[in-house]
Amino acid sequence: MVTAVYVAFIGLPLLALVIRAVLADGFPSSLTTPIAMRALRLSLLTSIASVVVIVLVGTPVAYLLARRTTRVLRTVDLLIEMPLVLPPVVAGVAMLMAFGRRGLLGGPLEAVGLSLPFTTAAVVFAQVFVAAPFFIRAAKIGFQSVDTELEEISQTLGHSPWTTFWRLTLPLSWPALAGGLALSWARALSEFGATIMFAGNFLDRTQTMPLAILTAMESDVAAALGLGLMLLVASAFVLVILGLVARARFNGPPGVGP
Amino acid sequence: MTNGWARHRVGEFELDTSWDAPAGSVTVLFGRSGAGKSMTLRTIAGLVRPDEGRVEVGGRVVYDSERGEWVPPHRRRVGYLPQDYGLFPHLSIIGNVEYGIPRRGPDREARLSRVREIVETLGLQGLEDRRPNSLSGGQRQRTALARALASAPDVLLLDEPFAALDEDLRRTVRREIRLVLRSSTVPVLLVTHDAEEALALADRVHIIDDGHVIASGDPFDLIVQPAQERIARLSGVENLFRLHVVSIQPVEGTMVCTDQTATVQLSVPAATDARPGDEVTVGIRAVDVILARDEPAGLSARNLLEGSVHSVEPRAPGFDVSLDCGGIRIVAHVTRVAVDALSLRPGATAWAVLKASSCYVLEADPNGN
Repeated sequence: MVTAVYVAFIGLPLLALVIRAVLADGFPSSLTTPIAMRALRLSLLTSIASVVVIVLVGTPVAYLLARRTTRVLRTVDLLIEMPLVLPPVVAGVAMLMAFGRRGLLGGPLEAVGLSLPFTTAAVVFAQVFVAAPFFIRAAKIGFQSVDTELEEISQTLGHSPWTTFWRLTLPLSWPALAGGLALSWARALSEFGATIMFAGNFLDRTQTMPLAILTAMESDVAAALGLGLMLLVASAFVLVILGLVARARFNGPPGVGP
Repeated sequence: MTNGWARHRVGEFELDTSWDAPAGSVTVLFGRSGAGKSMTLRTIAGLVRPDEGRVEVGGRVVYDSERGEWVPPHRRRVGYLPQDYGLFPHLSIIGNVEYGIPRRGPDREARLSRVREIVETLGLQGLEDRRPNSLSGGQRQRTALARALASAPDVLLLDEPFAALDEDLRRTVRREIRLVLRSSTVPVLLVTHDAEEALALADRVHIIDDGHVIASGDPFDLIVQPAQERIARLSGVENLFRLHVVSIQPVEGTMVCTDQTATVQLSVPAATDARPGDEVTVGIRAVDVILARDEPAGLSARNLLEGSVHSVEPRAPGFDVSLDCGGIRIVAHVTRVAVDALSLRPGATAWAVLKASSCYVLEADPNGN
């Protein structure tokens, strides 16, 4: 009974969104309104850029945290998870205080001709800030699941730590990394609070899909619903990926088995 | 040469070992678990960097604390086999073996033919495409050995290679592995806590106890007839008695000893420097003790002791029967058939027969206990 109520509670709004979006005037052209297309383009661009940054920076960080534990690293570990619990709006304000024109690094950045706030780069900053922990946490757990003894053996077999990572650690931990990647991409795509604080809401520059929905709700509800529908589909896609990954993990790495 | 020494402190534990592994022979590091054997192997592989030491592998210095030399594990050319083999679960048997062959070296065709050669040497044909988790313990072990050999190591480091196998398999696999090891010229350093294994495989043995090498030499001399009580305990001599010399029989070459309660007398080979009144330690293996239900007569054995059975416990391949004989407890190793035939159960009466020549007198431990 409770379950049924809960399912309805979750399912009804989603269903309502789909129905209203599909029944709205001008569907399916509401999916391709200029405001939607421009927001979609920007969202894809920034979220992909964010995910690339997150993987490049997050992977070595996650590996270090998985392999070493010192007092300093435990503190780092906590710090990395901070954005998970911090309200995104606060993250946005904090980033303004650090990188804004009057922020701690504002002066030096300006001196070299850089102004971050209210640019597309600021959108990426905001997304990386809030989404990176999802990837780092998953990757850390993935790396921890690889026995260090295997890595040692790989080295005694003549493979440097670098080669060992590519040929052994990564193939053994990819499901965890892929799962983390999907989660952090979803988080970057849905980022709202930190973005509007730190990057503002400027068409083509910082107006990603969530921000565009807010804007469109005031003028063109059909466009807002269309955007909402697209984000809903993207989220469902992430869930499917997570499901596949969970199965891969359950069965071991690809191709393993009698 | 492949040799070296290392001093390393980890918390309370202090490692202070030295070793050498001549080409074409198997050198066993023997000692109980926690003695520092594995740490010694890991030092040679470069997985542990000792506080002080010098490590040579195949004539190359790979670590010298004095000169600040350090070669990382992947450039040491060591074949390292940990206890659970550490096969890569995401690769097939071929994939695992091929992993050991440097990519930079020969082209893929040459690499594969080398893999096939090694796979054949170790009798792994037909399993090439299987994954490690679908192999038996013995097959897994041979795969790991094949992988290590594929990397053309200058020394082979085997850490308790048979520990993960069950008792029945262990002897068979050991025979197979011995043939492979003997046929290669690569020096082998093998760690074990099992005296039988050390005897079966070793050309030479280093006995390690509490982080220190306490003896090195011929395995038979050191393990079968251990001269020190400390080694006798390590090598699993089940019966060690602390006795007093009562009298010496120079003609027979024996001496009579007695325990503290003076209820038991044992005839044992005379120690050259023993005098009446001296305290000596006498050892005899459980397999050398014969049991009888009734008092035996007409035997050459000098020692017949009546006692009552204290316990009967299974230990492969038979049973350990411990017998309370006056002031000492004697452990005899007998077969299941014997346990049944003699009705050996706690409380039963039995006679222990000990040949004087199976008993031996241990040297006083030079390092104390």
